[in-house]
This record gives sequence, C-alpha cells and structure tokens, in this order.
Amino acid sequence: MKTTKLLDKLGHLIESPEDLDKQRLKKLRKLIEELKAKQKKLEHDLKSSEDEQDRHRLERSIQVVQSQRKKGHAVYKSMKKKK
Amino acid sequence: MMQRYLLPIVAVLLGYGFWLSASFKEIAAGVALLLFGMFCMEQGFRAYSGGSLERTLRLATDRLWKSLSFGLVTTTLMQSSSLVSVITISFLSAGMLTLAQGIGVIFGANLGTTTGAWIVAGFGLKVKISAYALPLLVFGVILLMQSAKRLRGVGWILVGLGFLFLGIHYMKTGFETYADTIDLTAYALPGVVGLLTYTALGIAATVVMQSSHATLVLIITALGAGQITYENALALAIGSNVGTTITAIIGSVNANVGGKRLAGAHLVFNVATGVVALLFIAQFVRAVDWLSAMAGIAADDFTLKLAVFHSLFNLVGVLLMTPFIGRLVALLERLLRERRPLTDQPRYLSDAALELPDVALQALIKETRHLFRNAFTLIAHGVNLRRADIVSDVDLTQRVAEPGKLIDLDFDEQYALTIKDIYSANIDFVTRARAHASEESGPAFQALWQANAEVVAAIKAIKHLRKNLVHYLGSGNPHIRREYNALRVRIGNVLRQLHSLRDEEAAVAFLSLDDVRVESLEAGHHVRHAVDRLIRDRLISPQMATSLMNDSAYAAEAIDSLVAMTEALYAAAQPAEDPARVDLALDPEELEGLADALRTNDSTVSQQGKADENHQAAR
Repeated sequence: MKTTKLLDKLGHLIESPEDLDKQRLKKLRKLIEELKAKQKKLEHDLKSSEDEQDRHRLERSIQVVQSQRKKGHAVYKSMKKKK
Repeated sequence: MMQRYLLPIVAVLLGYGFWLSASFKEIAAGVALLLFGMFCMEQGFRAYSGGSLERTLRLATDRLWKSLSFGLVTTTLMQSSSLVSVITISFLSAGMLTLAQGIGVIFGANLGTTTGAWIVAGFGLKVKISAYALPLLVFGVILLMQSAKRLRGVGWILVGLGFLFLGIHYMKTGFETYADTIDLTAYALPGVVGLLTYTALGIAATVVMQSSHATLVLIITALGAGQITYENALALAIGSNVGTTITAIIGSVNANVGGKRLAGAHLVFNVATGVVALLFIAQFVRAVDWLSAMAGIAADDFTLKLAVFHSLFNLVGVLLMTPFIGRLVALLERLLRERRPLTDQPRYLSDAALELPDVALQALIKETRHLFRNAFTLIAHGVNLRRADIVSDVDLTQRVAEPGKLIDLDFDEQYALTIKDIYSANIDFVTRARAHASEESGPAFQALWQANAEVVAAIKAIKHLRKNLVHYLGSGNPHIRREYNALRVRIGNVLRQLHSLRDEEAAVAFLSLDDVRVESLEAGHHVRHAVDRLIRDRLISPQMATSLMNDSAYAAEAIDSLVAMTEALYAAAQPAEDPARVDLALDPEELEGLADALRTNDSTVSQQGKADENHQAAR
C-alpha cells in the first residue's frame, strides 16, 4: 500500500496533463460511486423510518446527494467528451 | 548567561591564537569553512523540505527498525545529524511521530554520523581533496543563480560540499605545518588521566563548535598529521559524541515537552554509550585491531582505525540501548512531565515545526481541530446542551422539551480558559508559517487562518444569542420558549452533523456540508414564517419577536461560520483541483433552489394534509 502510494507520487512528477485529467476523472467517478452508496443507505433508512422529522431530514439529504451526483455526472460526461 | 561569557572568551582566545601561530589560523579557518559548508548543505536539504523530505520521514518511521535505518541513511547522506534531529523534534512536536519512533531516528542518526569519520579518514586525507572543492564551488554557485528552488537546493549542497572539502584541506595543511614547529604529542597524556582529560577536551570542543562532525574531522586530521596520539584521539572521539548532545539540548529549549524528551533521550544515549566506551576502552581497542586486521586496514593506519572505533562504539550503544527504548520513553515521560496550566494550551505547535512548511501545516490542522473541539463544548453549553447529548443518538427535540436546569456557564471565562490562548497561538503561528511557506502551500495556510477566524466568529455569535436564550427559556410564554428551543435544536443538530463527519470518507464528509447548508436555509425560512404567524396571532410581544429575529440571525451566523470552518479545514488538506470542491459541491443558487423545492414540497404536503382533514371533517 505504502509503496503504491510512493509510486503514485513519483508518477505525479512525470505525468503529462492528459494523465492528470485521467486521474481527475478517476477520482470523480470514485466519488460519484461513493455518493451513490450513501444515497442507497439513506433510502434504506428512509424506508424504515416512521418519525416525520427524521423522514424529512433523510429526504433532504437524499435530494442533496442526488443533486451532487447529477452535477458530477454532467462534469464527468463533458470531460469524457473533451478527451 | 553562559553564552554571554563564552563568545567573548572564545573570540579573545582565537585572536591570541591567530597572533601566536599562522598554522593555528589555518586550522581555525579550516574549521570555520567546514562549519559553513555544513550550514550550506543543511540549507540545500531544506529546499527539499515542504514535501518529499517530510513525506519520506513519515513513511519511513512507522516501525522501530525503519526509524533506525532512516536515521542512519539520512544522516549518512546529509552528513548532518543536527538537521535530522531538528526535523525529528519538529515532527515530534507536531504530533506526527511518537517519542519511541523519534528515539529510533536519533539512535540511527548517531550511527549515521560515524560515516563522516570514514569519509574523512578513507578519502579526505588520502587524496588531494581541495582539487574537488573548487569545481564543486563553481558548479554550486552557478546552480545557486537558478530560479528553480530545487536546483538552488542542489547548488547549496554542492557549495556546502566544496566548503567542507576546502575546510578539511586547510585543517590538514594547518596540522602538517604545525608539526614542523611544535610537537603536540609532547602533551599526550597516557592512562586513565589522559582518557578522562581528552574526553573532557572532546566534549568542550564539540560544545564550542556545536558539531561532532567538525570535532571528529579535526581529530582525524590532527591524528593524520601525528599531532595527537591514537589513545588520546579515541578519548576525544568519545568526548565529541557526548558533546554533540548540546546541539539537541539547545534546539529543544523552545520545543514543547516532546522535543525536550527527545533531547533527553539523545543525552542519555550518548552519555551511556560514552561511559560504556570509557569503561571497556581496552576491549574496544582490541576489537578495533581485530576488525581492522580482518578488513585489511594496516596496523599503523590510525585514522581509519579511529573511524572503526567510532562506528563500533556507537553500534554497541545502539545494540545495548534499543531493547530499552520502551523503558527510556517511560522514564522520560515521568521525568519531563507536561505542565498543565489553568488555560488550555496549544498541543502541536512549536518553533521547530515552523522550519518545515509541511510539518507546520499538519501541526496547524491538528491545532485547529483542537480549537474546534473546545469550541464545540463551549457552543453546546452556550445553547444549554450537553456535549454528551450531541454526540449521542438522543432526540434533541425531546431533550430540549424536558424541563432542566440551565448549564452554569461564564461564557467569557470559558472563552479565556479554553479558546483564547489556542486561537492566539494559531494566528501567530499561521502568520509566521506563511512567511516560510512556498507558493503552493500559501492557500492552505490562508484556509487555516480562515478556519480559526470562523471558529471564533461562531463562538461570538453564540455568546450574543445566549443572553436572550437564557432569558426566554425561563419565560412563561410557551410560544417563545418553543422557538428558542428550536434554535437550540438547530445548532445542536449542526454540531452533531459536523461531529459525525469524522466517520465519513473526507470528500463525502465535505459534500455533507451542503446538507447542513440546505437545512440552515430551510430553518431560516421556518423562523421568518413562525415570527410572522406568532405576531399576527398576537402570541408573542413585538419585543420578543425582534429578539427572536436577531437571535435567529446569530444562530444562522454561527452555523455559517461552523460550516465555513469545516470547509476551510478540508481545503487546507486537499489539493486545489479536488473534484469534491470543484465539480460536485453545490453553489449558493443550487442550494437555494433545493431549499425552495423542499419547502414547496412540504407546503404541498401540508396543504394536501389540511385538505384531507377538511374533506374528512366535511364527510
């Protein structure tokens, strides 16, 4: 793990702008996937919650995550197109 | 006090020496050039700090054997145990290294410093070293004129090596000409007296020069010129090893307790190793003879044999002391206790950390988190909530509805006890760190400055809010009580959300701040709506209404500051092109849009609910 990290850092020094774009895309995709997982968890919690306030809180969080994912997807697509 | 007298005494003695002997002048100039060369090399290696050096140190010190090897390798490469000690102390002070790991590095550095003797004895005295010095100086100065920081770093290292070689050359020729006029071996002292006297002389020389490396080079060149006996040279080497701890002790004066403990470990190791070497000097000499014979070193090559001795007794020291590192840590922690003043003090900041931008940044991030932890409690108490309730799953709406006593809080006193000193130290530290910072790390320090300012802004907003909150929580009017309780829940929930971010992955946690912002916008709208209704229905007085509106604004201010603080802390630790910040975080219009959509949704649902109720009633 640590060697990989070191190699990553070394790679950074000799990378071209295209490589950096590739890395940014990779990070973005990973983050969108993490948000998807978070949304699924929130939706699961919403299904099992009966408290009105709690449901409202969960719905709000889901909407926020949805908006962030939507925004992320748009950026991801436009970056892919540029490539 | 000592330094006040030491400097004039040394200056007078040197002046007298220069007047007395040209050779002495040459030797002293050699020492000065050598020390300047070491200074230049340190300067060069510092160009690599602020990133790679610290990262390597962090990766290379997570196990004891790694710490030892790291100390050995870096000191061998840099030829400066003091630079390694300074970096180690700064890491320790910043809480990025444990004391045991730091001790490992120092032990390794002690072994690494012995390579200097090998280089001088094996190479410096055998070849015309000054021939290498001049080209090194030329190339070094050319590189110093470059604008790239790293190239200038190489320039400093080359210039340093050039001066180092030049220094050795002057010392060598100085001793050689000395040998023609005075025979210093006439002052050689045999037996135990000689051993102790020359050990003391070695300590004194190293304390004055503050470099065991310089003392050792001086000893080797003097030994090479036949100006001192081999036995006395061994004692001087032992003395230089003990004397070198003075640099670490001086360096730790301004360091925190961690730095002092490390300097203590340095002292214990070097004194213990010195004592062992003195007690078993005869056995060491025999072992050196045997090892030298095995390695093919001539029996009369005393300079190389001195290098063997220096390495051997330091190696024995490391082997003897390493199993006791745990006990040494316990002993030092018992002897050098952290003084706990009445007010909470910064834990991670030190002058040593300021030397290295990356360490300074990490130390400041930790200290800002420390400030936030204290602010968390003060803000929670400010709105009459217990920290334990916020960090648990307790329903805060239910908790505030329960009748309870007001938390006894002198806000100003608590601010002075838990916030003021840390905040002041952080602002002072960030200002000084920015002066040393590179162009890339400038924005990170700026973000941390903002994070600290936001913490205090949040506290000040809560201080204003608390006055009316205390008043209205005791009010007989249930409506105003309910609205103030809603403000308490709102702040409690934000604190809870910020606390729970610790469990999430950094980027996802950062994006959760958008959730807090939307909630804050929603709550702000709710208060405006509630105030309208309460005034319209004459349920609260106009005075109560204005207080509630002002305090709601304070609550919003505190929440905005807390969110901005968290955001700034995240920004300080992430690269500028981080996708969470650049691509995914929602902008103010998007946040407003979401809050509006949620509100519309809510009112549609409640209108639908009311219509259903009316419909049911009509039936």
